[in-house]
Amino acid sequence: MKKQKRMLAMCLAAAVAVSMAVSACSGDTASSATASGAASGTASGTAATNADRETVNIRFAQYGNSVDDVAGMENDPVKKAIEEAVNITLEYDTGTEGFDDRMQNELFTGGAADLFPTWGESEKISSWVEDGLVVNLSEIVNADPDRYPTLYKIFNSDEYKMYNELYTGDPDSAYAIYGISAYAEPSFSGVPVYNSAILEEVNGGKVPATVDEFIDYTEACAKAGYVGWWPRNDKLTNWQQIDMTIARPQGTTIMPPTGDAWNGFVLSGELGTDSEKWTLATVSDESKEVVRQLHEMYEAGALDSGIGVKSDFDDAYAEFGAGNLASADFGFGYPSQFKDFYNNPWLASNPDGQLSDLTLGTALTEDGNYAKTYSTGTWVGSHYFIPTSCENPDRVLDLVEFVASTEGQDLLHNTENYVYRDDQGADYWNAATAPYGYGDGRCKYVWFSYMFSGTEYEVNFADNDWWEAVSNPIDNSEHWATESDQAAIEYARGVVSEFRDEVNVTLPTYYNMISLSSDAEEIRTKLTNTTNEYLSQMLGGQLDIDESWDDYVAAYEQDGAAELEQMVNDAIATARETYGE
Amino acid sequence: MKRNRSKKPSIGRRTMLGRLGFNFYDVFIYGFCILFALVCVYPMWYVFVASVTPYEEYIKGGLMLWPRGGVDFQYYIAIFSTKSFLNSLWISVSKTVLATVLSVLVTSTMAYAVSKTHVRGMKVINALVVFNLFFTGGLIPQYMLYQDLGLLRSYWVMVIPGALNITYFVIMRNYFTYSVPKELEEAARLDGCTDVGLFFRIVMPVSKAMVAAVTLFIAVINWNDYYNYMMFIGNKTELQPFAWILRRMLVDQSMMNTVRNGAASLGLQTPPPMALRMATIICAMVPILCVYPFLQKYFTSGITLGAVKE
Repeated sequence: MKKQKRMLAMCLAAAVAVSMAVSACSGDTASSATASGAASGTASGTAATNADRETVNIRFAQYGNSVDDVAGMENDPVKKAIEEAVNITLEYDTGTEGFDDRMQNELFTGGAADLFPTWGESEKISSWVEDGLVVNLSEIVNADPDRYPTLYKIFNSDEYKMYNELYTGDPDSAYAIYGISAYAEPSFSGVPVYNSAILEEVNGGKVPATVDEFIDYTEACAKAGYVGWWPRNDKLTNWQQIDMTIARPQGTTIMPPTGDAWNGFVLSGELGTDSEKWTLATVSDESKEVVRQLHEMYEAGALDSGIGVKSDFDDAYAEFGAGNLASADFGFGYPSQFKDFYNNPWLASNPDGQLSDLTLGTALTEDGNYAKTYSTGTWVGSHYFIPTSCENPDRVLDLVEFVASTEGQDLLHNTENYVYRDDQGADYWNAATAPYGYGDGRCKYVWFSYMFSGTEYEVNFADNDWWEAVSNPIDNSEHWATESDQAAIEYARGVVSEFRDEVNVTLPTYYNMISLSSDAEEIRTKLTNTTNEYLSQMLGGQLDIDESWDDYVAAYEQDGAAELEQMVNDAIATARETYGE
Repeated sequence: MKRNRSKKPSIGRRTMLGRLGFNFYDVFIYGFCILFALVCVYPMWYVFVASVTPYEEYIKGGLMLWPRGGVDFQYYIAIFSTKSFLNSLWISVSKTVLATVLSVLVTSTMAYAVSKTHVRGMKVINALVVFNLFFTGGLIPQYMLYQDLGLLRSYWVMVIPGALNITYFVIMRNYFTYSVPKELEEAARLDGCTDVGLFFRIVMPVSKAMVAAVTLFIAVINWNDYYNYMMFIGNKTELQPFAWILRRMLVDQSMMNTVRNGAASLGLQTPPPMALRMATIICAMVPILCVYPFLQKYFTSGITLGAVKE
């Protein structure tokens, strides 16, 4: 017993000694950090240019890059140029899985990166502001407009203040750099691409133009031994392609209310006026007929029987590349999507293939009507924050100011005064992109790419106000595209232009400011789950459509479909009254 | 008599199986087991076959029982020409060995101490430890603790926090309580053995089977663990474990691009993503599979030890 007590006492003493040693170490770190912060504050208060300011290290975080190639990063010419221009050392931080959680944990525990992103979730912004976790950026910028001219212009634009008000209720306090996404040209779903050889064999080369023609074609393909159609949907939860290809041209939708607030609804009345009204149509009688059509296609082998199981970009790609699939649907309302599809799966599986092997179809019609894609053309991308634990927020804003400036955008996007430079090609850019997992011939930088434009395009703040710049970004990608890529894009653009304006409907910008309550979000989640459950079983034949449709409608009513419809229309009306012209 | 005669086996009617000593039930059981084993093994075999099959053959799909179009190790060459793969393999091996040794040592010594319930306070310590099996502080307190301990962004965050494995602590404690003969311990004490000597020279050797099984399980946990890296290190690529690389190969396009571009720079044909994923899965499986044969003899008896209390 005496021995055991002695051992226990020794263990306790050892534990105390270890704890003291650890706390001594962390105490050193804390005091050195404080000293560094104080030094920076003094320097920044008196200096006029970045060169005169203290050199600090800034940790910048961005989703989805790679930092494995340490040697390559050291030789990255663009990183060096940024470091030199802002007089800082840059430390890149990245990740994919768990990245958002890590960013949040670091924020809560005082160890966040100096500039870190979220995907624009409004509830995060307001709660972080309430908890005092993120820096009020406009306070720093407005106190020194000469130091931050571009940011001053951005933060004091009416539209930026509108977002401030939406997120925090205070139009004059900006706690984030808002990244707004916009494509350089309209994008929409529901355009099939056909294997030209099968199209020739089964349909004499005639491209289906109506929903009925398309269904007949896919059924004929099935009879000829091919799989008629693969709409992108590997989990039976992504109904977008089916909806846009088959349901929308028929004036209805089978989509559940998910994603954009107006998904699952059909519009009546005039957009932008008091008469606009959105009606939930997922369980309408017209939708029932569409589901019946889909089930019949499934039974006939016209719709791929692997739907819900087969993965989109591996299995389905491989099937298409191998010539087993007659048509596939992965979007294609955007020309570069078609280019990507032509490269992989087609050329990857058929190295000697040609562009004419594929035929880009048309958006289908029914009774002369096209499917309509409603979009504001812009949507919220990532937002960047500076945590209150950051020792030098003013220096971080120097970095943001540089990135926003003409010099910074030119550096990142290979331009000179926003005009593409032909003297720096892929060879130069390879050194700046390959270390981060790219090096694929692109001539633009892969860091800071989401900071202002969620679609990674160049933005011109020098000649435009904030909203004009972010909603009309500059796409330079065609300048560095290979000849083959350019040919594919041009071909797709030519085809799409024939019906693009018929399909694409631009919503008023106040649709960006629609804010649904948590109750509405809860109903949307329930309805989406209900749709996923019923639709997948009806499509596959596990549920009889006629017998089960009433149950489906009843489930929608029970889940609060009518309340949601009211909530959505109220939210749109509020946005129209508050932010409409 | 009639009944007895009818039961007597007829030599003429004996089947080949009967002559070999099998009956219908044996055949069914063996058949079922073989089928089940095939169902378990085929996915692994499929992954291996896909990793050595030229892509143009792979995408033809269908059942793949063996590599079509010859065996091609180009995907493995591409993987091992990527520097981060070799480094991560070293990190995984080293942290698995260190963390497993530490975990077995800490867990077994603690379990042995707590199994001595006659020592005052051991029941309280036991309750405090087991409490953590059901309730934890959550991620943020854990993060703050590691930060204060200076473990964040360090190699040791993948080793030290797992030193006490509570699940195996409970199993070991029960084993030491119910399955190690008290007489052995008393005899050792009479011979003058110290507490530490008793544990290492008497208790551990007689618990070899259980310890081997627990070691294997803990090693597998450590080998497959990437969560600690993902949450608490995150940005130090030189500390990436192989399980994280594998995960990234599955979900991270930039990681895939790095390997593909690396292969292209070696003059290899740019490998397709799916084939690279298959090859990476095999690379992640093989090292830990190598551990099994060494522990197999203890394994079957070890996992059932302590299941029956006497």
